[in-house]
Amino acid sequence: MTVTAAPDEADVRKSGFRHEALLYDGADGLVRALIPWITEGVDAGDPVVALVTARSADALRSSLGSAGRHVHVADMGEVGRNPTRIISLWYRLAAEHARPGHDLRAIGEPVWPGRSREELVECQHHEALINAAFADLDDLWLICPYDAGALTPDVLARVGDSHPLVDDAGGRALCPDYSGCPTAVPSDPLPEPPDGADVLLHGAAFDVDALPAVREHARRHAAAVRLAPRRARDLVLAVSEVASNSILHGGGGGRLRAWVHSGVLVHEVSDDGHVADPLAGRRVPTPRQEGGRGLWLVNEVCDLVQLRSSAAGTVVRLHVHTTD
Amino acid sequence: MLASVRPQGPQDAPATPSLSDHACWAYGDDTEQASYRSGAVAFMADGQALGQRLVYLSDRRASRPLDLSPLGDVATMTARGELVVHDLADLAGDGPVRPERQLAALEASVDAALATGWSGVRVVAEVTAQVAEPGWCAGHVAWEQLLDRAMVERPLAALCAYDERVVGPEAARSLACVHRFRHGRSATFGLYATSDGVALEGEVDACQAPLLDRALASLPPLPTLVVDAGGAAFLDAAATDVLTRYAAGRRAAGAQVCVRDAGPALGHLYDLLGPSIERSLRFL
Repeated sequence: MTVTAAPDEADVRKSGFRHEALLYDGADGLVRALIPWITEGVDAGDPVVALVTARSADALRSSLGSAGRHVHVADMGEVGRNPTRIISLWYRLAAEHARPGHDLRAIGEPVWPGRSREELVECQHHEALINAAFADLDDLWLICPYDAGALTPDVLARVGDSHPLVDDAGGRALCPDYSGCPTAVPSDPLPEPPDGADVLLHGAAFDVDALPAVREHARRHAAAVRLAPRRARDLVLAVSEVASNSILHGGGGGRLRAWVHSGVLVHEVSDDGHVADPLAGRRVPTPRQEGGRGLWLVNEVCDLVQLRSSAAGTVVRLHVHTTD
Repeated sequence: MLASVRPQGPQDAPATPSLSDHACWAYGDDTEQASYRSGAVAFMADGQALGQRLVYLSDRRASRPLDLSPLGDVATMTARGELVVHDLADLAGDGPVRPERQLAALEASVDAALATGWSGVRVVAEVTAQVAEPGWCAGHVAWEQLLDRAMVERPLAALCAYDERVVGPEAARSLACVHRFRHGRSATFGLYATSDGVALEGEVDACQAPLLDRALASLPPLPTLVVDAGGAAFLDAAATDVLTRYAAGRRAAGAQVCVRDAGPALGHLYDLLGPSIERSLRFL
């Protein structure tokens, strides 16, 4: 494959932001596809940032050699474990690395073999949201690699939904499956806790006076699964933030439940409010704004966050791995 | 509904009474009133044991005067200057509290008590009418904070009582959160004076953050304010934002806000929030 314009790409580039999926086969395939593009960018003075799997990072670093010092590489498995924090991470990286007069060349690999089913759903939603989040970033060129040799067909089949351009063994082409930018928070209901889940708290209503009790429950749950002190504090913070949102924006109260399954502690907060903004919690707050930091902070500290909302109500599930 | 738990941090009484205890007591129904009536007399008794002159400011517009007979013979105590009693209803018409004038009067009364051999002054005041007047509450809270600061260095103790049914829950919380010792349903946190600033203790979440914002805004300004956060059991993003916004405002006025004993939670949260908040705190 080569770095040339695809037919009608000018239409896709109307907004300036370029979002492409790259289907590659193995580490060698990744290197063959990306190194010329990275090198072209480095030679032109474009900043290059890669959030990729550890394996992909090793392969890219080995091939780049000394040129690698011009490329910012981070392990997506660490920084992007929770897919719902990736967009705000890109906002920060774009602000940090952008150079006037240059494209920011970005590589984002949010999906790898071993991602859980719930994580994959959030990854797919994240990829679709990127089109809305970065529509105004004219100088951002984001390539999302997907290992076609290792990922399952059902995962690969969804790639085109969220990428206007797809680059595979046949070349780069506009994707007919691209379904545009989401305009709402997903509203499909989340499945009930699996059979065999250890329920720590059945649905319990709370109001503003019960917020200290909500935190106390979260503390006890963290202790029950022996979370490390810092993770326990993060969990209590996250549960409190979401419960506070229920009180302030969700009708004055909500319902809390919690369970453990397969090494994951899940807290679910539901209320009668409606989150209308599909990018809620995914923008980096600024010092000027009053409020609006809670959901962003929750995305920063949890291993996975699922948010579903409609006029019928809102559900937020916070996942923390018990074995880290 | 989840059962209420007591937030971590707030205390209703000191472990050992001191010459400078500052408490508030919010009462509501008859049971709570009865509890206040005996608790207020016990507060006076603590002062009596410490050798303080006792001052009782009743207000017949708000509640029946306390029965002080458990402290001794009231007439005898009054005659020898151990007990001073006034009814605020007799002083009504003076308008809202004038903080500097009131503070000067109180400090003069402490000096007078010390000069005649007492160890200080202990006051119980029924403040319902002061707080319930429309537009007076914020000023009264600021007065309480001025008094709180003065008490750090002086042997002056005070308990202010109010009927929550009359003043309303918002005013009750505003008052409660600026007292170190708090009785009754009240704020989940406290912000009270220390020798070099204030102590922030208890739990502040997004629902309580506006209350912290108001309490900080009405603090008497100090060129350097040290916030002792050792007792801050929980702070969230909104609470941290309020604190850093306050510190940024003080910095713009040429003052400084430092935090002592932030603990791992606040330090970690400050780092996590990164450039999303004002980077205005200095950690000691």
